[in-house]
Amino acid sequence: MTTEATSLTEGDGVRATWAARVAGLVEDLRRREDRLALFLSLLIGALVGLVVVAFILLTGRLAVHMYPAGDDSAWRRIVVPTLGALVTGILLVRFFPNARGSGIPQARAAIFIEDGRITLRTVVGKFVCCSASLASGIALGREGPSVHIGAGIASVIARRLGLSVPQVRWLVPVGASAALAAAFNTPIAAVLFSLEEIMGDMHAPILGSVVLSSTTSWMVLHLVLGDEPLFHVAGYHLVDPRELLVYAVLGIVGGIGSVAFVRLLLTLRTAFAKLPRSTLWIQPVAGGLCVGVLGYFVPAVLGVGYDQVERALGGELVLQAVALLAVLKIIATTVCYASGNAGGIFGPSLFIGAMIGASVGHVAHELFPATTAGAGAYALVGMGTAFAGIIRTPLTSVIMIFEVTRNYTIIVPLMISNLMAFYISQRFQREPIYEALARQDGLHLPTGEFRRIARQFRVSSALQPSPAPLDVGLSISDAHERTTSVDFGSWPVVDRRGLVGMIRVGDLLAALAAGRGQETLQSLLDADRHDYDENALHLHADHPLSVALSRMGATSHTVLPVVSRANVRVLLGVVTLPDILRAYGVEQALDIPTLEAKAGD
Amino acid sequence: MTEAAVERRLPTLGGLPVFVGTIAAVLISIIGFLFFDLSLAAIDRRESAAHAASAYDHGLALLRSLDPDAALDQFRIAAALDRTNVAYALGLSEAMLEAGRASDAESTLKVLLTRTENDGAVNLTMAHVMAREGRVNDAKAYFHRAIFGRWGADSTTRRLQARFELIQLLTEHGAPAELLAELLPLEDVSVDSVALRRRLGGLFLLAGSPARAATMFHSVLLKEPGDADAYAGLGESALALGNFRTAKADFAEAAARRPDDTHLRDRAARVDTILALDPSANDLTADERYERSRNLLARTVDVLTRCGEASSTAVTSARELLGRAPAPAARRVAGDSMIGAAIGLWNSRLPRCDASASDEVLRSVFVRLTG
Repeated sequence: MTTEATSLTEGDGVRATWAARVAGLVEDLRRREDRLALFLSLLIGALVGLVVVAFILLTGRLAVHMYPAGDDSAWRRIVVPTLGALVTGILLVRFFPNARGSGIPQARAAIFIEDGRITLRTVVGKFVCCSASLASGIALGREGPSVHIGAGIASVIARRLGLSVPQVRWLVPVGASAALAAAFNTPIAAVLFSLEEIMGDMHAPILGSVVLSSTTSWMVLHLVLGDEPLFHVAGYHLVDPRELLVYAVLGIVGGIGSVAFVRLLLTLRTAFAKLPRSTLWIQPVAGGLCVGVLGYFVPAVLGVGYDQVERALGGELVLQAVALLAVLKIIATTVCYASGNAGGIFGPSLFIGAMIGASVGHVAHELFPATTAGAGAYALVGMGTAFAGIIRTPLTSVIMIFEVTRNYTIIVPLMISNLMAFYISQRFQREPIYEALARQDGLHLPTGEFRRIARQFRVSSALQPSPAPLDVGLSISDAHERTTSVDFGSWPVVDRRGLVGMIRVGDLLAALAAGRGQETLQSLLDADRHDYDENALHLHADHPLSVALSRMGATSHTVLPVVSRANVRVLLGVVTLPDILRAYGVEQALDIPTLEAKAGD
Repeated sequence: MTEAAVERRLPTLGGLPVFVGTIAAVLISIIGFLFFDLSLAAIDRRESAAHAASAYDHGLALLRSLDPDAALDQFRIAAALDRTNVAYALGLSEAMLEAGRASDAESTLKVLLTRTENDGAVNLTMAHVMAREGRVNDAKAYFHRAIFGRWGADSTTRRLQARFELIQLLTEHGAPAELLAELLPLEDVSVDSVALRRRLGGLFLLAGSPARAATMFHSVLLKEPGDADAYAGLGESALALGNFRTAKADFAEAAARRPDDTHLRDRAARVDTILALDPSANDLTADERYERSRNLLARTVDVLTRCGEASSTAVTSARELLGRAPAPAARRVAGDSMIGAAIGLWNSRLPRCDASASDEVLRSVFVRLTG
C-alpha cells in the first residue's frame, strides 16, 4: 500500500513536470515573435496546401460528374455553365458577397485596407462557389481564388490567435504564397508573386515566412498528388540567334493581346457595374451563357483549358485552331469575369498566351523553317509573355514558366519576350489589372507607381553642400559668431580626422547665456551624447527621406550631415528640414528660405 | 533583432487556452484535410487509371485497324492521364510514327528515354523512328540498345525479334560484315528451331558466309530430310563456294521435291550454264579447256565493253589474245594465258561494272578460279 502510494505520487510528479515543461514551451512559443512566426508559417503552409489541393481535387471531381466521360452532348456544354453561373450567382449574392472575382485584389485589400481581415465565411464561399463555377466550365482560373482562400485561412488563424494587426497583415501574404505554391506547383514563383504583386515590395521583411509556408505547401502537394509539373514540355531551345527577333515580335503581339484583354475586361466590368444592383445575382449567367454558346461550337473554350495548353505546348494544334482559341478565350474570360463569376485570370492568361505564342510560332516557322523552332516553343514563351503583359509581374512570370514546365533552355527568349510585352502593356494600359479592378470596386490600394515615386525621394535628392564645419576645439563664443552667417539650426563639428558630431545653434546660445563661452565645442558634444543612437546622427545619400525625417525627430536636429558609407567621418553634405520639404514640393507653400538665398543676403 | 525585441510581448495575444485550442484546431484540420485529400486523390487516380486503360485499348484497336490519327487521340488521352505508364507513351509514339509524324514520335520517345533509357521496347520504337527518318546509323544504335535492353516477359523472343529487325535493316542497306556480326550470335540460339535455322541459312548467304549457310541447311535436313528449301539453300551455298557439281545435285534434289517450282528450275539451269563455262573442271580435254578459257575471256571482255571500258589497255590486249590462233600443242598454255587475262580483267573492272553488266555466271566462275 505504501509502495503503491509512493509510486502514484512519483507518477503524478513526473506528469506534472512534463505538463509544466509543455506549458512552458507553449508559453515560450507564444511570447517569442520570431519563433511564433516560424511555427505559424509551417502550420499555415501545411493547412493552406491541403485546402488548395482539396479545392483542386474537388473541382476536378465535380467536373467529372458535370461532364461525364463518353457523353459528348452539345446541350450539356450550354446548360451546365449557365446553371453553374446561376447557382453560384445566387450563392455569391445571398451568402458570400466577398467571394466574387479573382481574389487577388481582395487579398491585397485585406492587407492594405482591412487590417488583414478576411472572414471564414469568405474563405468557405470562395471554396464552394469557385469549385462549382470552375467545374461547370466557366472560363476562369483556380489560382486567384486559391490565393484568396490561402490568405483567408492565414487571416482567420492569426486573428483567432489574437495576434496584433501588423502580424495579421504579415501572415496574409504567407497564406497567399502557400496557396499559389500548391495551386500552380510553383514554390519559387509563389514567393516572388507574394512579394512582387501582393506586397508590392521585393524586400519585404516577411520573406522568410513566405518561403517557409510556400515550401511546406509544396511538400504537401507532392505528398498527395506526386511530383508532376503543371505542363509537360519537350526540350525546346533557341534554333538560331536570329530567332530572338521573332521572340521579340511575339513579345509585341503578346503585349498587344494583353492590353486588349485588360481593356476589354475593364470595359465590360464597367458596363456590368452600371446594371441595377437587383440584377447582381443573375449577372454571372451572362458569363455562363457566353462560355456555353462558345463551348457549344468550340468545346476547348470551356474551363481553364490546361489540356489545350498542353497540346499547344506540344505543337499539336494548327494555326487556325490556336488563333481561334486565343480570340474566343479572351471573349469568354472577360465576359465571365466581368459578369461576376467566381474565378481568376491567372490560368486564362497562360491559356491566351500559349495560343498567341503558338499562332506566332506557326507563322514564323512557316516563313523561316530553318531558323525557328516549332510552334510549341513559342506557345511556351507566349504563356510567360501574356502573364507579364496582363498580370505585370515580369520576374514572377519568368520563374513561373520555368517551374510549371521545368524547362530552362528557353529562358533567354522568354525574358526578351516578357520585357517587350511588359513595356507595351505598361505603355498602353498604365494601370496594372489588379489595381484597376480594385479601383473599379472603389478600393485605392498602394500602386506600383506610388511605390516608384516613393523610391525617388532619397536623401541624395535633397542634399546640399555643407557650410564650413566648426572645429571641435573652437570656443563656444567663436562658434556662435561663425554660425550667424547662415541660418542653420545645427552645424557639423569636425576634428582633424573628420566629422565628430552636430551642434545645435540653440545649444550654443544656451551655453553662452550660462557663461560657458570660453569652453570648447567638445564639452557641448559630450553633454549631448548617448541620448540617442549614434547612427541617428548622420545620413547616407541613398537613405529614403523618411529616414531623414525620423532621425531629425529622434535627435532634435533640423540639419543632419550626409556621410560616406565607406567612412562615416567623411562629410558629403547636409540635409535640412526645408530641403526635405522642398524635395516633396511643399517649399513654395511654406515659403522656406534656401541656404543659398540666406547666404546671399 | 535585439533580445529586447525578441522578448517583446504581444499585447493583444489571446490567452493560453485560446492559443492551444486554435493550434489544436489547425492541427486537427490538417489531419482531416490530409485524409480527405488522400482519399480524393486515390479515387481520382483509380478513375484516371481506368479511363487511361480504356483509351489505350481503344487506341490499340484503332492502330490495328490502320487508323493511326484516331489512335493518336486515344493514346494521347491515356498518356496524359497516366504519365508514368511507359506503354501508353510508347503507344502514343507508335501512333505518331504510323501517322507520319516521326519527329513528334522522336520527341516523345526522347522524353521517355530519359526515364527508361534501358527499356528494350522504347529503344526498339526509337530504332523504328530512326529507320523511318533514314538515320540508319542511329537506328542501328537503338536496335542494339533494344537487343541488350530490359524486356519484361518473353524477353528472349523479343530480343530475337529486335535482332531480326536489325538484320533486316542491314540487309536492306547492304552491310554484309555487320550483318554477319549480328548473325553469329544466333547460331547457338537457333538450335531447336528448323524455321529459324532455315532463315539464318539464307541470311548467312546474304552476309557472304556460304559455309555457315551450308551448315545451317545441313542441320535443317537432319531434322527434316525432305526439305526442298534446305536443298535449295544448300545449292546456293555450294554455288557461292564454287562447288558447281554439288550445287547442281542440290538443286536437282530440291526440284525433285518441288517439281512445279520454276525458280528452282531456273537455278538448276543457271548452274548448268556455269558448269559449261568453267574452264577449271577436272575432266576436260585440252581443247575443251582452251575453248572454255577463250569463251570466258570473250564474255569478260564483253562485260567490260558494256560498262565503258572498251578502250582500256587491258581490254585491247585481251582482244589481241582472242584474235590469235595457237597451234594445238600450244593451246594448253594459251588457255592458261586467257584464264589469267580474264581474271586480271575481272579484278580490274570498275565498280560500276558490278551493278550494270556483270552476270552471276561469270561471278561464280571467277569465285572458283580465284579460290
